[in-house]
Amino acid sequence: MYARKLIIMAYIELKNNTKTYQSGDTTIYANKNITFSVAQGELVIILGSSGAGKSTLLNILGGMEPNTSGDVIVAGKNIANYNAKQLTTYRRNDMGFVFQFYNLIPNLTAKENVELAAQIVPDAMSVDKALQQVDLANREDNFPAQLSGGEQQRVAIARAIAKKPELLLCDEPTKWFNRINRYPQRRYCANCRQGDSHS
Amino acid sequence: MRKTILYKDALPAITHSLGRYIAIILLIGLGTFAFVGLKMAGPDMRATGGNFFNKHNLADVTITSNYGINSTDRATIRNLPEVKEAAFGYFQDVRVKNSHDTLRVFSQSNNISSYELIKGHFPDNKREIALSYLLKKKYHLGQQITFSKPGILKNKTYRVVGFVKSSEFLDKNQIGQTNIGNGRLTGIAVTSHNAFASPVYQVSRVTFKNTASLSPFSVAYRNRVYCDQDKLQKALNKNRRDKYNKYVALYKAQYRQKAARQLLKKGIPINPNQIEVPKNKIKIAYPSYTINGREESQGYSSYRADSERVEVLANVFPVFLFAVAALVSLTTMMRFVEEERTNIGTLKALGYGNGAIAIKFLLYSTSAAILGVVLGSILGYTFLPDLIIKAYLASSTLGTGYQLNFAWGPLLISLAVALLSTTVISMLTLWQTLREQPSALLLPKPPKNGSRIMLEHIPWLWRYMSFSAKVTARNIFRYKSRMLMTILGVAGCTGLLVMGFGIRDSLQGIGHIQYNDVQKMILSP
Repeated sequence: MYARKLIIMAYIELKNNTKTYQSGDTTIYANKNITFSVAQGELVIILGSSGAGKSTLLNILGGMEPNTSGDVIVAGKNIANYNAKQLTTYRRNDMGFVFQFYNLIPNLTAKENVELAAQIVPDAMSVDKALQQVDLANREDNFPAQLSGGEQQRVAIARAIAKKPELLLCDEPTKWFNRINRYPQRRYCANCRQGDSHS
Repeated sequence: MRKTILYKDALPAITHSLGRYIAIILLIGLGTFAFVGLKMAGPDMRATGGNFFNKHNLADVTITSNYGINSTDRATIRNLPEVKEAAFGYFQDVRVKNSHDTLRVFSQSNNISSYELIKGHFPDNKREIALSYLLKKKYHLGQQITFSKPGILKNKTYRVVGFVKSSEFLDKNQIGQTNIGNGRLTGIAVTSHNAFASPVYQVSRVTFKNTASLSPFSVAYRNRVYCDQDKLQKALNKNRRDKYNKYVALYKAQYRQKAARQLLKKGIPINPNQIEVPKNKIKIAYPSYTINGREESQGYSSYRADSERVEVLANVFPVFLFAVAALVSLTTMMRFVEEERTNIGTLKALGYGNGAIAIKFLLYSTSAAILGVVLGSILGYTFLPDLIIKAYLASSTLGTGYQLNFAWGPLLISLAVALLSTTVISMLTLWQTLREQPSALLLPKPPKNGSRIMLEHIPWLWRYMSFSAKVTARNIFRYKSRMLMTILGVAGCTGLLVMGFGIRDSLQGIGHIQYNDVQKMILSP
């Protein structure tokens, strides 16, 4: 099972996290001085209107994008200071991401897509088990083109959890949201964001 | 970290875009084929010639003299330190009775400049003769041929026992000139040594010591022969004075005898030795020795020149083809990496390193390059040199049994070009993509900035153009690289086509103009 840390300190801590873009002379703030903390095992939902910077925040947390200033501390490590190689390792071992557009590899079957994630970590969940968790064991040999939107999302979820990550991030998991109560095993911190239709 | 799934993903990348993959292979194959074939044709031609000459120990030089080669000359030649082997032979030009054929009949030569037996056997005695294999259709084995004026040949009639190929005569059509018949030799023939009766030899065939290790068509060989030939010439020239004196004495004696006989007819007996021979009556040519290298024989120097000409072509043609191949591979690989943008982003987000992500593109590009080079080489080392040699050697006796060699050079150069335009390009494009943040890769690429082309700043012209014309104009001037590629590709191909036709038309006209317009007279016996 998953190791639990019995320390009271926060699992995720953001301090003045800021992300800016330069467009000519003007500076555009995607995230401005965001500070919050998340405890281990906590489920967090981030809501906001479109253009608020939710995706940017998720990307920064997931090590997919560097911020401009501020600290991003995950499990005691400040990933804001990580170089590219360290970020790659972080994304590989510590983080599971379910993308907004699922982003499955079209030339690989559902099973192979999950295996893509499983094979890069030393202690992965078995592929069959991951697919069973999302109720898609019987569709494992189908290509993404042969799956419905919801089924594709479930494969994306299976891919994310197969790594047994410390942190699970989901971008626009509208369909998935209803099922969160069905999986009591997942007691680790989850950040999810819902689109503006629910804000 | 295992990577098996990444390899699994690499295969559909090929099979799902097979057309594109095969296009790259074929184009690279074509460039390789042309480059390798043209680069190898010249060396193959020379290797074929070289082997033939080595096999028959072709003489480096042949020596003839207006007074023939006597024993003194033979000693001079043999004693020259540069000389390795020397052989001496006879020949006589004859006309075949009841025909227009003129043959140069040689005495058998076994050690130097030997003959290749094509059919039958070599002549065993002075009544047998072997003819040039080019006369195979005119004469048959067992046939008796007669010479009208045998000259130094003891017999007039010979039986044809074989057909041979001479290593001294390379041109099928031009054998040489002669004093008899219509002035042009029809062919050569060989008979035994004892079929000739002559106090002197007509020809000496010599090989030099230092030429054996040199490649026969090389500049080093030619320089070496000139050098040794010069020494030989100087040595033989020393014999001229004695020879001259000897023939002068002979001439004088004959003159005296003749004058004495004439005086005797008039009733005046006189001792021939008392007759003075006026100097202006001594009409004797001064002895001279002519030494000919291999370049002097018909067909030899053109053979070498042709082989070198082909190699020059190899520096022009394939460049065009490789350029087209490289351009297409370039754009194809760039587009491939573009298409895979989101997949690359996904793999990056999952935590794969750059090396792992590159596997698919590496396999695709390298396999295409290698397959293309292999395919092109297989045909390039065999089919194309074969074709070229056949064409160039159409009028040469070396045109059969030629060698097709292998050399690493053209293959490695083709491989380098192929890998440069596929693997290197894809890795460079991939490198650019991999430098971006995963989040940026997962987003669809923003549309390229629109911009105004120059034409738009001419309002009266712009308003005049239809919508389609405007779109076309924008496309042409916005995507300049694409336009340039199209223009270059079409220009290159058109250029090659026009050049091909041009060469053909130019060459076709030569024969007609030369023999109809320029040379208006034909002399026949």
